[in-house]
Amino acid sequence: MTLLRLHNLRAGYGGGDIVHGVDLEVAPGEMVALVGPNGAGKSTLLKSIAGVANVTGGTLTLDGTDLVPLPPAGRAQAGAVFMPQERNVFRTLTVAENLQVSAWGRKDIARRQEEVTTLLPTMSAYMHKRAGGLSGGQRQMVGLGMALMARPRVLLVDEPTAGLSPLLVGEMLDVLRQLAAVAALGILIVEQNARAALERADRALVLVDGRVVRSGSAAALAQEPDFGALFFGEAA
Amino acid sequence: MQMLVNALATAAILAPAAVAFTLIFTLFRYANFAAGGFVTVGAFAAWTLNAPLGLPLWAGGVGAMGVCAGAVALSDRVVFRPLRGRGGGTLLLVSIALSFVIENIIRFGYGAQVKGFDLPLTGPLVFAGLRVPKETLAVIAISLVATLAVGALLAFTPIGRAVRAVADNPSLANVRGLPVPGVEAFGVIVAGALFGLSGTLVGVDLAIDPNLNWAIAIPVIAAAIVGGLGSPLGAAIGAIVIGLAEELTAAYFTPTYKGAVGFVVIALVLLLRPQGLLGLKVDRK
Amino acid sequence: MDAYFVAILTIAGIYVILALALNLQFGLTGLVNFGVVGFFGLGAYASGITTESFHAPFLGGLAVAMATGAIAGALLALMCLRLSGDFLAIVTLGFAETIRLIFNNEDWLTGGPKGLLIMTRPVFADLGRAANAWMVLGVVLLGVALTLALMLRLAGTPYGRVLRAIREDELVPATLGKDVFVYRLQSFVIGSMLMAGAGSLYAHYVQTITPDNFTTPVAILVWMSVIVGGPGNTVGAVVGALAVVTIYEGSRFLSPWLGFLDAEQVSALRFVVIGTALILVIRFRPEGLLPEPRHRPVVPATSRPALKG
Repeated sequence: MTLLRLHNLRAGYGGGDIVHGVDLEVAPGEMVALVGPNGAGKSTLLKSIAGVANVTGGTLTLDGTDLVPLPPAGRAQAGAVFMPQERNVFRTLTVAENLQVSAWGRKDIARRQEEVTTLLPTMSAYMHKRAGGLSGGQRQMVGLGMALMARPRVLLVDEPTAGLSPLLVGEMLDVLRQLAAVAALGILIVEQNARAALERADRALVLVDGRVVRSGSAAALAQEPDFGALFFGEAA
Repeated sequence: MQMLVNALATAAILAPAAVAFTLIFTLFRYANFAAGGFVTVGAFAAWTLNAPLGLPLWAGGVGAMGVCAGAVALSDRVVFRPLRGRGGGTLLLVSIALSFVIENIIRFGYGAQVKGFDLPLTGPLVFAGLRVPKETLAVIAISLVATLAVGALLAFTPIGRAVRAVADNPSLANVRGLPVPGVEAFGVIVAGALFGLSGTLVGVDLAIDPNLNWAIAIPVIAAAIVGGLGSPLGAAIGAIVIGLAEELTAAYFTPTYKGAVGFVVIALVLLLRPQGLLGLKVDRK
Repeated sequence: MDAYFVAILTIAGIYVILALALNLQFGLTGLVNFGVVGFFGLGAYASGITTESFHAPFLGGLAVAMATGAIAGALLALMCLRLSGDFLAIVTLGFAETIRLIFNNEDWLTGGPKGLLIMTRPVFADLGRAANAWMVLGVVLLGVALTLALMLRLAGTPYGRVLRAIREDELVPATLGKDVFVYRLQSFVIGSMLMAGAGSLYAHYVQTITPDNFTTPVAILVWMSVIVGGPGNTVGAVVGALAVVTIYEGSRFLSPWLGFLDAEQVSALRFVVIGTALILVIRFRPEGLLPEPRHRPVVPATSRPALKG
């Protein structure tokens, strides 16, 4: 069963396309990694799914629902929830407030907060601190928790390990891997640390210049001898 | 002691408007100099309902809060929203021009004669040798309740949380599914109502005329700056500081320079503590 | 009519100097000075007091006025130029209000609300009303010419380009090794000095100055001149000031058709129109009538050139 389906998707920020026709599918419980050189359009692709960048052509559906006409909030409501790369917490609010405000308009905020705390137990240690005073790893965890408050079906994660120490990179990716399994979440992740991502993802796509140049099982891709070349965009 | 009462009365007038100024600053990142203009609108709205129309002053005050909320929301939609994304200097200049327009619309409609509320005469309360007019007590009590209520609204309610979230990072708020325009509109209306309240309170204490505009704008902005431009609590404390400074100036220097106190306090704050008494450091962008 | 024409030209000339000074501060360097009227008034009173109380000639008054303006400008700038632009705006506005309070309250020095009577005139000999008026106009126009020459030179030199670069993005000049603060300070001080100089010319032209001469409407008109003319464009500031003063003074002739309004209402209405026009110009034509010529690709033109805090 496929949850998120992109067909020939084109996207950009209004000044010409950056993503030139991408086909992609994500199933529940599946973690799919988007890797590729800088400027390949990975983040733009992710943001166009979230509604933060513009879809200029192709189709984008979540469980059969057309996402394209929906604003970012509508897409989140439909289940496609985005976790931005940076500035992804409200720094002046406490962690608890960050979670609560992320479930705006829902009746069961307390229950959701409990759920999220169960999924990400480390967060309870700093639940009542201001998010601005947390460490980088803690902030990413809060950002993830905020995304989970919307009860996503597909989580769109943009470089969750940016700026984290190598030890924390693995930890963060493990948390995501587990989330996919435990909550039957589809996860689409853009990741700079390609090797670390391929170790955990089910499938992966290599994006170069806005096009998919290779895709398949993450383990198989990681084994390919020209992976480094692909990653750095020399073989496109 | 008498001085403390007077200082509190001044603070009570300034505090709601300073909180409103801070609220608009945190939501939209520009200094809205039309603050004085909106307070003047509030004073005239309350006067219109009270003196010519004969309503009790509390009703005039409620009406003034409504009128001001409408005026601020309208100005936001017509004047400021189309300019969002331009520099803070642009919005600031526009807010000064707007203040000037508001002042002169009022002058056009009401003339320049000084007006006062129609209030029943009441004797002062006397205790421990201190004579406090009942109106002054009412002004202090109402302002205190209103400021605390707005503070609690922002600190503890879901909508208050949403306002703080939008003020912190509007694009993230959008991604996290908050109705950003609605939350901003709510903030604008609360700010407008607070301006209206300040306008009513200032009319109890001072003469109501179009020149209130600049006379009130500078101490209000000074209070907000002293408070650090980040928190409503800071703005309220800032108002007390300005009130005290004005009374000290009047008592030990000369009352004629009360109007310069706001400027001097801003200058001192900038020299000694650019981040305000509470709140974040505001560096050059 | 002749006398009226001379009077309007004289006033227009004074506004041209004010607009050129503000254009240096805001248009070229991006410094938001809402205290225009404070420096203008400071210059007027400094000059008047110097010539009347100390019997100095006109040029002495002018020199003292400009020195006072420069010192006041330097003090304000030192206080807040390192901070966000909003603070400069607030402080300068507060400065203008405070200055006016001083004019109003220090009767021994300024004559208080009754005003200061100034006998000294910038004329060689008393040749009767009309000739005197022409001579004063000549002095004002000389002031305009000198200011304009200075501004045109400044704007064209590398110095002017550094100021522009500071306005656009202060990181660029900083990386070129320019001390941004010093440049901003200089620009602000020169502008304040010129505003005070304009105040001196005004004082010796009208001969009676009261605190009411130095209120917000003056500042709004000067800002209007710079915005309408095109911020950053020196010639634009001149054209803007001429246009604004012509329209403002010309609107007096409308009052006969507005007979149903009293004088207070007519004056208020003019200010409403001016303020609204200023907002509309900023919204719909922020580059002004004469957009600033943009000839050097020092900074990527991604941001709005005209109005930045």
